[in-house]
Amino acid sequence: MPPSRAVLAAALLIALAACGTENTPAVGGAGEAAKPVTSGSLTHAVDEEPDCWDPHVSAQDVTSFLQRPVYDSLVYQTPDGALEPWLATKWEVSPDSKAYTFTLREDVVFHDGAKLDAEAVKANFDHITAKETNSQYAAGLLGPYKGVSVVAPNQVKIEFTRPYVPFLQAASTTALGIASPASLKAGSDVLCAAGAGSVGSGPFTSGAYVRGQERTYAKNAAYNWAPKDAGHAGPARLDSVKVRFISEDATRVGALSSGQVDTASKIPANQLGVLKANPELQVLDKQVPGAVNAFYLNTKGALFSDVKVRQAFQRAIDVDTLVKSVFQGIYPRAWSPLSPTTPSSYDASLENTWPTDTALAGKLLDEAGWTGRDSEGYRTKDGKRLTVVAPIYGEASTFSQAVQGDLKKSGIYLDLLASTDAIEIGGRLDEGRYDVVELSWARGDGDILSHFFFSDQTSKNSGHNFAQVTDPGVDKWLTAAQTAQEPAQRAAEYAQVQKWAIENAVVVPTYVDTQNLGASKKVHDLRLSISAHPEFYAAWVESP
Amino acid sequence: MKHTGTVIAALLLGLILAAAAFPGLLTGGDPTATDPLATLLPPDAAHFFGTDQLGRDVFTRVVYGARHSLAIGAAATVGGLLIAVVWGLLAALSGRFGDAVLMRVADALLALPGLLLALLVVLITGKGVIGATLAVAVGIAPGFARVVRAQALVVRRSGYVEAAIGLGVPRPLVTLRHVLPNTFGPLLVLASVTLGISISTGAALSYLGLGAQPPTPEWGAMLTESQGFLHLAWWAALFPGLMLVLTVIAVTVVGRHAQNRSEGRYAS
Repeated sequence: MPPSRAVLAAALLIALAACGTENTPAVGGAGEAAKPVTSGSLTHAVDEEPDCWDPHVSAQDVTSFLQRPVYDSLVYQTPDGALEPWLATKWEVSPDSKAYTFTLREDVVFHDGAKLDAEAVKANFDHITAKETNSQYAAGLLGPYKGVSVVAPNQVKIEFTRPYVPFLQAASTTALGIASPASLKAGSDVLCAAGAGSVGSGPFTSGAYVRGQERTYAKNAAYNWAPKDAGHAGPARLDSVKVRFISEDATRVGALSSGQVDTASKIPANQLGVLKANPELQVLDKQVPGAVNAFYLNTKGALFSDVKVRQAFQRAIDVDTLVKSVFQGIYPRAWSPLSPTTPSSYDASLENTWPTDTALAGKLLDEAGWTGRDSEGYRTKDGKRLTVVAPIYGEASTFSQAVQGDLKKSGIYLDLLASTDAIEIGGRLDEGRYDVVELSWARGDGDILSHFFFSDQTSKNSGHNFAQVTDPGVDKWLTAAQTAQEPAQRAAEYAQVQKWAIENAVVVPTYVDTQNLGASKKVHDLRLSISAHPEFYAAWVESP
Repeated sequence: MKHTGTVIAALLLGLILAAAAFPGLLTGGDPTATDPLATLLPPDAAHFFGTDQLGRDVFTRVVYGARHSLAIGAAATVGGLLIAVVWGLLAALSGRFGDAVLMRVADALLALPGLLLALLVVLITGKGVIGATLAVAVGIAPGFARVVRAQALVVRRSGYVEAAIGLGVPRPLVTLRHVLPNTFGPLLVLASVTLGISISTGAALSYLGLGAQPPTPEWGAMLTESQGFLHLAWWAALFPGLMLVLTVIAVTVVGRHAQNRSEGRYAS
């Protein structure tokens, strides 16, 4: 079987698997009375604002979401996880999976009038990998990247030093979105600042941006290159989109229920009841694929270099009860570092294999020498309190605080070091001055495991190996997964990594991040993308 | 009865001070003990003020919160006084030029509302209980400094100070023995009135996430934590807010009474 067909088969399998498990949530499907309106505008409220708007630089999920309307990618990943042509009409993979040759559409025009060609794509890959770009995520997605070359005016080849199968999915992310080559020359200040600096070929052009308030987008009337399964073809239905930044949960929900915004991201679980009771509103939900919310334990730190203390931490937390209580029974608890919705890579056999066992946790801590108790009831060893340092950017969530309260019962002090100083937190992470890091990461591919457990993906290298795992066996499985063509074989390798991570207690998965999007019932054909963010392209709003 | 309000305020203040000093007498619970199976419970016999989003007993937290909220306010007031005494005395005794410089700085700082000034200071000191306390102290110091200076100028020209200087007592000793003690009276009255403002400014900083950090049971911090759950559990926000309001009113009423009495004494 030629390699390109193998990849196609893989994509098909992924699509079938995904179709079998769940349907794409979307509001206002066929059969509804109203006919799509091809004008109007939509206002959306998000909880976060990007620090830098250049998707080639930023590691923030919100940057990827908010630049998706502006930048197209070579490949499109459907909400179900299947990969299909977008800016590239087709691609060929070399037999050793080390080289990908993309054939580009010839009718694509950037917002500044430039034509998409192989040189433009090359300029983007050169920008992502340039040292001065200082990419915090996109460069990492390229894995064992070797180089890019122009094969023909409409053909571009990307090469890797070793087989790298996850690249096709990576190429579908906004982080590897294709910008107009002229815009890339403007420098990082302009690219980071959004506004007129963001020039892509997407269905919306970048409009005005007021920091701390809002960002606007206008319809790209020339748009005619949507992927097949985008749910619509031709120019976007909406004339304009406005995104407002409202970080306070209660305020965001209030803006939605009062009609100031049409849609709002991340409705907290405790507010869902109110929204669902409102006859004018609806809720779309989707479990986010990728890495679930989890604690990564610093295996190179003084405290957690001892596997017994790690296991004690893992078994001491009453994850079931806490998740049920904090998220009102709406979010599922997690058993693996991967989300069940990650296409063909989740290891379901881990479920129920490491239940809470505070007695075992106590025994392990006794064995590790944490036998003393101080006046507040925390365990001590040589007079030192059992303190687990957890740096947090922003504020400690209700869930983190609930875990803190729960760990106290086992005599463990979880020190939630919350700070809005990005440099302070970043420094701590880079220098390994922490015991645990709690985070989740959206990605529609099991290769997200490489970012968390491959030995070279340290915080300093813009990776997320916060557990500081340096295990040759793990590296071998992850490399094998990146090499394997067959999804089943990749899943088997990823399963090994998931099992190893749980058995060695380098990670404590907690809950599966779930996007709850609140929307007015006047909004139609809005669906959640693979990474569980709304796709504005096909959406439309009933005229009042 | 003319002073019924003052008596009630004094009793309430006494109760709050008792809660701050001996919280264990009023409640047997642990203010940071969570219970995921008992979250957002309405007030009942077991939980007089209900429970919050982490299943903590709101009554216990409100009782323990008295200590933190009062401590920030009281420490900030004392800190503000100390800064102001040095500042005001220096201005009064350092000649025309020094006086002008020090008082123009005070004027410039007085132009900013106290809370805004405190926010600026927190940016420098960093968030946390100590940072917030310092911030409130610096916020109230300029107003105090003016009072100290005015009083010091009056005292300096009084007969007994001139007599002391005439007798050849060294100037620093005159300042310490005679000027300083005699500026204190009005200052203490002003401080008792300001205490209420300091408590509410401290709580405001905690509410903004710059003062006491979770899980510390501080009233302002409790308000922030519970506001996202207001539609589900009004009690988690109402009681700390109510206690804060009552405390500030009680402190202010008692302080005003002290002020009136001391002014009455001046008149007689």
